[in-house]
Amino acid sequence: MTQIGVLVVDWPTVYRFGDYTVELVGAVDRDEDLHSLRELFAKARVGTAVHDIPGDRPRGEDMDDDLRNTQYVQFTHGDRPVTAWYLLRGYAFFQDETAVGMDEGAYVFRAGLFFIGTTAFYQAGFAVKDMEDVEDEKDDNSWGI
Amino acid sequence: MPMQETSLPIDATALKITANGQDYSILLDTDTFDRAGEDGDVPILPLCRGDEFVGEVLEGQWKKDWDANIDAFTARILSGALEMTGVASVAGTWGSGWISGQHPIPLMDGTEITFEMETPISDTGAVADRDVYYNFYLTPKTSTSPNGEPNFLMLRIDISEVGLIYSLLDRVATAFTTHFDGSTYDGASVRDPAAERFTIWRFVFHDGVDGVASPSNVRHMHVYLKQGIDRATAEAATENELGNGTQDSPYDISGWLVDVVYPNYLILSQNTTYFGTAIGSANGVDSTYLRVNHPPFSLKYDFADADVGKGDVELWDGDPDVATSIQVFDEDHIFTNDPYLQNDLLRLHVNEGIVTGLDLYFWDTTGVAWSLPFNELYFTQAGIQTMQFPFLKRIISISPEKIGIEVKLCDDGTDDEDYFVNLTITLRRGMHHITVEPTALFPPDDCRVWFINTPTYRFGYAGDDEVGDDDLTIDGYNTTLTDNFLVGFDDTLTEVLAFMANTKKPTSGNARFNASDGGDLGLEDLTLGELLASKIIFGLTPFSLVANLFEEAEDGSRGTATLVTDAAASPPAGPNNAVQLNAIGDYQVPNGEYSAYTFTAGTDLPVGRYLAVIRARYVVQEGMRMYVWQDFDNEYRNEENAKASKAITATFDYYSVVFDITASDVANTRAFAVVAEKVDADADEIRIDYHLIVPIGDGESWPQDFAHAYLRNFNKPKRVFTR
Repeated sequence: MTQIGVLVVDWPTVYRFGDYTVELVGAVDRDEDLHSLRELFAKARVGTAVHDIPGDRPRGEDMDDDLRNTQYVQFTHGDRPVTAWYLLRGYAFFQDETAVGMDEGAYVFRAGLFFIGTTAFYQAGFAVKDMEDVEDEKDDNSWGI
Repeated sequence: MPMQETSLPIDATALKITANGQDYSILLDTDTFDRAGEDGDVPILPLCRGDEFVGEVLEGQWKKDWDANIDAFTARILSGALEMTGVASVAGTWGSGWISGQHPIPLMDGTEITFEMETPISDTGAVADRDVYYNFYLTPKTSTSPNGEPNFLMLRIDISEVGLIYSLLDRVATAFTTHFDGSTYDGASVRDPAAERFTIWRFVFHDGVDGVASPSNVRHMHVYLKQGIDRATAEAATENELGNGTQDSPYDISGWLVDVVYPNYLILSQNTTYFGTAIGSANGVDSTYLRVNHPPFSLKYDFADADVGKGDVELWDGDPDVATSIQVFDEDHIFTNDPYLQNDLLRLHVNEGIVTGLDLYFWDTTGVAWSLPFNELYFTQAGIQTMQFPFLKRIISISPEKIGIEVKLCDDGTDDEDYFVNLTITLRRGMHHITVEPTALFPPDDCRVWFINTPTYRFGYAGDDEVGDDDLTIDGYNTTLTDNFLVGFDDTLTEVLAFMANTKKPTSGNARFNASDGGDLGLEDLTLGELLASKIIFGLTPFSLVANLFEEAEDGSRGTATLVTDAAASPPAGPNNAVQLNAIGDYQVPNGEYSAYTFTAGTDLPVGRYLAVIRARYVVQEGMRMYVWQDFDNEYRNEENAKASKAITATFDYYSVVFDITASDVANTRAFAVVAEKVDADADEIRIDYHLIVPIGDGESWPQDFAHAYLRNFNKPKRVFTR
């Protein structure tokens, strides 16, 4: 099982590893799940970037305000990548087609991920800001409360 | 005190705030509280942002208490100020009363706390040992006396027969340090019988900077003061940093053991005149505001792999409980079924093209299931055209923290342009309400906004003693608008409180809150400008003991009072549907005639601040007195701390007092009574129809809490931080 954020997908059949990257090919049972995955990756291509840093590991960048392209990806079967935070990079699928050698009704997709780091080194949270002076907020709060 | 609430993912652990490289641990269930949802408990961090002390009722998270040596302790808000009164039971013996805030303040680098305090006198007269104190504290979380805490920072206004002196002290592991005392910002530890009594204090907390002069090289605080002979003069005064040559700000606080604190106000008195023997006394103390500003910070947490996504805000194409429905992640999604928006606590179904098609559900913690849809919201134009057929126009934004959609409400099942209102509807993580912002109305006109329920809730509270009752076909019209919310509920139906609140106080002549026929809540006759400037929240919050919020007077205790049939009383069919008080009585003895609704704290009603409402009238002109009594401690629990006189009329109307149920009351299952008695001993008659209790605020998840917290805005984009 692979879980990308909240979406669970069938076991990928192929992993291809690169420099902090993982490309996986998998399948889901329903056409609707294929499109849910597509939506999850909808802003990935234009909303992310990977920067090569001379002398250092490459750095991923999620340009979405709420880091929608950064997901916690869990791999729970053998011969797998590390469960960690990943940047969503790319997605492709073939509408109404199944891969050669796969059961009919398996909807195939290919997804690209960039490794950010495990929870041993990274943790989730919020950057809280714009807690303005209460007095100023009276402009939006005509009760004065 | 409106909280700045931050919702966290379900089962988030190891919470901490990081600011300026320093970590502040946030303790679950001490600094946070939970809201129960479908996937588990949603932790809420309710940061303190202060209190303007404006509205109808002192906010529920200010926990009130007093010791045995003070009489007539009261604490309430009145005309934009916190008012506290109380006098020593025995002259010369200290008695105290206090309110303790339950929302935390992490003392980060750059945190500022500003508060105003004023006293009625600068000296207590000629007699010694008749001193009075008015204190502000920062302490660990407490509801017992802040003065007894082993660790605190205290600003004390100390008044004796010699005069007034301001003192800034801290207590660390019970050891006191006086940082400053004086009657002005540069006063040299001397009392002044003519000191200016209106003061505005500002505390600014900073981390230390290596290499600079002490104490700025360690954790320290700056203290500033403005002072005047009245409020306006104090506000306009020059702000000065404390310093008299030997006790100069900033002050070293590097030894403090607590860095997440809570605010408290306390009065201490040896005096039988100050600070006032009754609510509303000119001898009381006031504070017009407490303001807390936080610097930007990071809020971090850990979670287990199995908890990913729990508590997220979700948008679904189709009913989420149906297997064929799919979750939507992209703003460009094309829907094949109705949209559903949910966050584990609340669910909105946009039933497209269907009358009253904006259906709200809540997660019923009693039944452990999603409720039936029974609340709809819609708009009407000046009572002429009703717009209640929704159509989803677009998805504005999607994230696990917040989802915004644009919905168009039309006057019929056709999406056209003759009559419509466009709405931006937003649902956030951990909230029991949706936010609705009208963005267009056509044709432009005055408008009404409705939040109705089917089956109809019997009761609606519109504020300022205005109650609607469906059984009696009574509307509660409120044009005073002291506060910004309405509440609806029914003691015989689903265990929930419905509420609606607005950010903009309407000022046009006909605008009002309406509890129509009870629990149909409405904002009426807003002008187009007011409507488009409004952000309205509609919510449902579970309340499991709703059945105990109402009792017919004839079903309660009445001593020797008789029952009568009154055509205007409830139930309308009678008979014997009202209690008639012909003679004076006293529930506390007990003797004579009275009407009392008795209940047990904890078993019947939880901790919180309530309105006790009595529906009453006179037969022959007479007054009524009402109060809330706690039997075990023989104490008044209503704000007045006494029997409150009410000038009732010849027709039935509603009269209320504010009262508290404390954690101690609940732990010890104390007996309570809401009581009505005649004022005079003559034979004039009054009739009591029923007792109604309206939950106002508990500092967490009651209508006032949501209505006020929503007025505090901030941004919290999601981040992944390096450890």
